[in-house]
Amino acid sequence: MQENGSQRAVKIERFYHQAFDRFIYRKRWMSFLGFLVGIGYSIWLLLSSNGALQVSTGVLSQPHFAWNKTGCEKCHLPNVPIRKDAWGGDRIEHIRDNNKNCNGECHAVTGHFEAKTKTGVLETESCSTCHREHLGFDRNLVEVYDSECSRCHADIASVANHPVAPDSNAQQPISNFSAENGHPNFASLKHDPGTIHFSHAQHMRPGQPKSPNGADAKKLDMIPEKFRGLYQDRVDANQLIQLTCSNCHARDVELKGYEGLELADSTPTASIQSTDHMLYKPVEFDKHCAACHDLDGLAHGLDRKQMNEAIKELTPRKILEYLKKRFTEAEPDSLVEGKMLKEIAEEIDGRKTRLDAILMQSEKTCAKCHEPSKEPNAIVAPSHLKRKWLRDASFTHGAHLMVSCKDCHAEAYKSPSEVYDNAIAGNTKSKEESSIVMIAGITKCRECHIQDAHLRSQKFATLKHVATADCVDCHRYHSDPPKNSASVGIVDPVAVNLGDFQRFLASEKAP
Amino acid sequence: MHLGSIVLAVAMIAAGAFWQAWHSHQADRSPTGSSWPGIVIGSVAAGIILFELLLWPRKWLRRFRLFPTKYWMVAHIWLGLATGPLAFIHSGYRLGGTFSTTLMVLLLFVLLSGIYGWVIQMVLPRWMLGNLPYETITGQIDDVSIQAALNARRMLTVAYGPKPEGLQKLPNLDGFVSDMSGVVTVRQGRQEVRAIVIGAVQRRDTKGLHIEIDSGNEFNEEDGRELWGQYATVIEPFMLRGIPLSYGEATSPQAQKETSPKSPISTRQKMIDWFSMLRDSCSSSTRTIVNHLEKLTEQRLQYDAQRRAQSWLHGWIAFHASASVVLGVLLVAHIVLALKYM
Repeated sequence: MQENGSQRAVKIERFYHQAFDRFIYRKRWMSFLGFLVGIGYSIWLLLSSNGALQVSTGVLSQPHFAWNKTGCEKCHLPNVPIRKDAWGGDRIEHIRDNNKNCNGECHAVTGHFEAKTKTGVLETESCSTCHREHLGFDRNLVEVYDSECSRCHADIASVANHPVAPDSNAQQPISNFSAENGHPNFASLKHDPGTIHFSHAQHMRPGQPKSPNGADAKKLDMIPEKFRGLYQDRVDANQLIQLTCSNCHARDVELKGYEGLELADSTPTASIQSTDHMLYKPVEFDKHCAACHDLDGLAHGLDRKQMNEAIKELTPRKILEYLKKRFTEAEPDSLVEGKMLKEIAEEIDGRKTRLDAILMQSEKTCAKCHEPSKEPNAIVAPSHLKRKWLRDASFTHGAHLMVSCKDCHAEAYKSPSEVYDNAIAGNTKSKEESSIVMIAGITKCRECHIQDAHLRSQKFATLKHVATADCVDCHRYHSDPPKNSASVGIVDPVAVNLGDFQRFLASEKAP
Repeated sequence: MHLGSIVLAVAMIAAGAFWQAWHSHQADRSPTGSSWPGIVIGSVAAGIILFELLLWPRKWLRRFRLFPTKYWMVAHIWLGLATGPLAFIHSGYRLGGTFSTTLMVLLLFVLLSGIYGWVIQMVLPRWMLGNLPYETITGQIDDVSIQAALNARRMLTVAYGPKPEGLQKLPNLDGFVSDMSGVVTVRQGRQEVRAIVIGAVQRRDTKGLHIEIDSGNEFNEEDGRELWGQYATVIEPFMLRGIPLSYGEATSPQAQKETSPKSPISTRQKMIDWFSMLRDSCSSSTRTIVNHLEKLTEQRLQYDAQRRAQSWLHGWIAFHASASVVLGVLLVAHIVLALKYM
């Protein structure tokens, strides 16, 4: 007989549900254990210094790494949102508090065109909006997205406190570097303010001849012996000196192992990028010109007072000898108002004529390269040679070692036929050539610096040194451009109070 | 029943993703948990997790009939599933630091264990219903197995007399039985048949189970010795394996453990073959008795399968619940820390 349900049911204890159930027992105990684990972990997070590492959304970048473990409060004010896009983070008092936390104790940053910006606009900018932290040790905090710049620059008129000048680059609406989004050509390259008459084309020819036929080309043995060592490895089979870029343009920072990249005929192969080497040192007469342009013992760079002091020490005979050498009978037109050397010497002896005024008349002396000064105390006009051409941007030569000088400075490599004026025999158009800006414009930059990532990857197939075109590749935010761009050096974008920082590090290491 | 919760869950996810993306686009920033939509979406996810955890206290308050359990469970499943995507949207599609990663991993574990439990609870009960007809309450398996052994002993005792001397000692089951019955004549329709009355007579069944025996069959002593012998050495140790019982001098679960794996009836196929041999070695009069012993053994095999199935069916809850508790506690810490360091 088959056992029925009732019969099976009566086998079961009436209060079976009160009996021990291992599943319920295990669930309760494990849940209790989970509760303890959760509470313990939470307490450890809140109280332990190592707990901060667990809460951190990522490793801090190198400059802030000292606070990676224990320095949350250095930046995070309690219950104050640090991100501007956080809930309540856009309140002015929060932004101000957060910015004070960065700017003052550690950083000393300047504003950004404060005088030209509407009141209150810059107050809404917080440090963390652009400088995003917790993205790893190698994160470069200066790498700011273009969108942070274009928030204002795409519609610059809305934040500028004065009418937009149509010819001003800074006030053009710019979204990014691409041609389609309005970055104009570099205003700093519109003209060369320099006053020196110098022909790159002439100086890049063997022997640097002034005449097209090269008759006056210089050989190594024609320059003073003390300079020959500098050029002896640059002579050709005819003993003519072939200058290169690096003969006059020295790097501001030495890059060992990468010498000679500026050779005119070199094919750049360097793959390194050095942000240390930004610019080239200024050309110095005594180092780079004196070998050929001998002043016969007269110092270069004297002003009028210094010059007169110097000639006081000279006897009329000495002066005459100097002038004879400079002003030969072969050049009668170059003499001042047709005066004979003898008369000039007599005037000098009586100190009636200033020597500097005479020297400025001949192309064999100061006037060869300089414009006369309009200042009473100076002999020659300021050279206005620019060391840094891009006024609002930072160009780093060290990051461009993979391209040759000629790629960007093609104007300096013009052929003689373009430079020599055959109408004036034996003369270059150095004056005209000097007014040419020998730096390629933005179009050249865009050949490698490509905004669109897709296009960049496509271009990479044929050009290995394609690069990004972010605003921060060239521009810095925390420094208004100086008034005198000719004398500008390299500006540290974020000045850190290193003394405080080092003291902090020392205190962190202390037991 | 499910549709409403599914629509609500999908709507929340879609709305959250759209809002976060729209806000991110407007602000021209990558989405984050601290943004306005990030906080709202995170709060919704946290609220759902709190609701999920209320399943436990709800059991304590079930006498108040708050809400039908089936609807609560449907909401528990679908809204719970929505917490994963919502938390991911809240986080700005990033894992963040170790702590937030731990939270996400915990949430993922809770979700996966819940999905596993949901699937297994849909599949296994159906399988058990079809394949384990002897299924009983899992916690009562030992008790029911002892009763089955008592029934078998009673049946053999009624048929062949007490266990002969010299056979393997059986555990003491005196505490589990109060009555015994004998061979009686019972009416089956218009017929009267002889039957051995056994059953859980110690409980509420005063009638007991009737095992019919052929009229005219006589139980001989030789069969009795053979059946008692096989019962004592093979059948009962298998039926009572794993149950700590007194063998008089000492409890010997170890001995049972050792015999169980070697039992010739440890699988269904082995059992069928073994009982077939047992039938061959006894006279035909034992058929009813042997059939019933085989049925009791089959019952025990099904109880083993039931136990395994129950482990699969309920074992996950401990992990799901404990991980949920950890998640709930850490969620509070996350909220405190996020508000402090936002």
